[in-house]
Amino acid sequence: MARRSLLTDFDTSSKSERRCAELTATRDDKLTTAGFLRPKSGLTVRDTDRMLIACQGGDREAFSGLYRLTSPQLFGLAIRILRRRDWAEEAVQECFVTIWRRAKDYRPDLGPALPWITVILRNKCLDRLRREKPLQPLDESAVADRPDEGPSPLEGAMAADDARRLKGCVDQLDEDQQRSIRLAYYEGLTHEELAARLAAPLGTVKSWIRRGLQRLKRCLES
Amino acid sequence: MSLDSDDLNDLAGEYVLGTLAGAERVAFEARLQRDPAAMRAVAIWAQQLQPLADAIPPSIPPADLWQRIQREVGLPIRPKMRAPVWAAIAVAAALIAIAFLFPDLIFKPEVNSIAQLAPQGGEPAFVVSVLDDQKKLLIRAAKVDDQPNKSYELWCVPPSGAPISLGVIEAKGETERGVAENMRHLLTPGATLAVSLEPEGGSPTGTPTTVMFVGQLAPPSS
Repeated sequence: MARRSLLTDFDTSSKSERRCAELTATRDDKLTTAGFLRPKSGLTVRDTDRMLIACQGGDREAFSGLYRLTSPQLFGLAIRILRRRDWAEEAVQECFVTIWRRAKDYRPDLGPALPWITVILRNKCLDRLRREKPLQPLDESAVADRPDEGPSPLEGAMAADDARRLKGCVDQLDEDQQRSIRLAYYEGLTHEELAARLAAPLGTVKSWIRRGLQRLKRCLES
Repeated sequence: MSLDSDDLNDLAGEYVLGTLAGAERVAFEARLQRDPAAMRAVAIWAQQLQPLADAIPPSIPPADLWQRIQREVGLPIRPKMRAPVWAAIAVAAALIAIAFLFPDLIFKPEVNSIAQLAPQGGEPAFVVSVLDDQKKLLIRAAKVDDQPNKSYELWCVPPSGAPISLGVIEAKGETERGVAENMRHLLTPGATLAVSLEPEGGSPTGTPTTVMFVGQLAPPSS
């Protein structure tokens, strides 16, 4: 199949691969020393790093490979945040347009590609939400088609080391801190919206978020 | 840690989480363009919160989304697959349909149950048949991209507890395999099966790395 050769061809482009290996090796050493990153055994992250670095040089095959590898996860996340497939499609589209145009901004020495991409995607979703919010009806029918809130049966299946560590640390937070961080991440709520949703004063919500993040960071680094 | 870097960490955390809004967000984004410490802080937070994104079930975007992206960034759009490939897929799909509707015609052994494993909202990639009183599995690759240096691995996802590997499977043709005696009771109608994409040779951790396709076993007549 034509598509199959995309990845094969890409894998043989050893120049960008070498460069990537050098860059990510220094990064991982530094971050591991700093306690931010445990060495990873999975290869998926490395593949996306390599593809994004190749995008910096205008490699279309790498861009296509990156799309094939990451778009389902990004589309799923966009649907969760935006609760509308048409908006989610547009967010993923805007995200990849930005990836292609701003690939040079990616600094492999600072971290893997996927989190860099996820920040872009979530920013596109947040922009959309904040642009549309005044128009959105607030009645229950608007949330009727939202994806299931419960954990997916495979959530446990996908949990790698990092996920278990984050979950352990999130579990240690106060209930209010946990809830406000989850609502902010998965629904894109601002401080004001969180205050309204949780029926708490603005200052209190701000401190739940800030203290929650600080505790999370301390726990993750310990 | 100095007060300044504490502040920076808070800001970066709220930026990645999305609660930093309005003028504060704009100001921080401007700072990100020129302040390496801010870039580093954002990269760390992005990586630490990534498991929240990974926990959302993936969803396959519509087929034309990639074309829309290519058009917007001005890349040439590849011609679609050639007719013979489509014809082959159509024939394969027809065979799968026949196998599904009239299993006795295709399968000589007794078929206990069948699962079609597909990406969310997509066409089946693998069809798994459970044969001979759960003693044997027949796995047919229907529409799978053969990824270089990667393996597909089949899992049984019990209602509770970690997924159990049923081994690495071929991305082409059929894989037949015996089922360990203590696994047989799990492979009954209603059970969830999943296929993950793994580094060559199978999951290095004993849990699925990237779940690609999911499906449920059903009696062959349904």
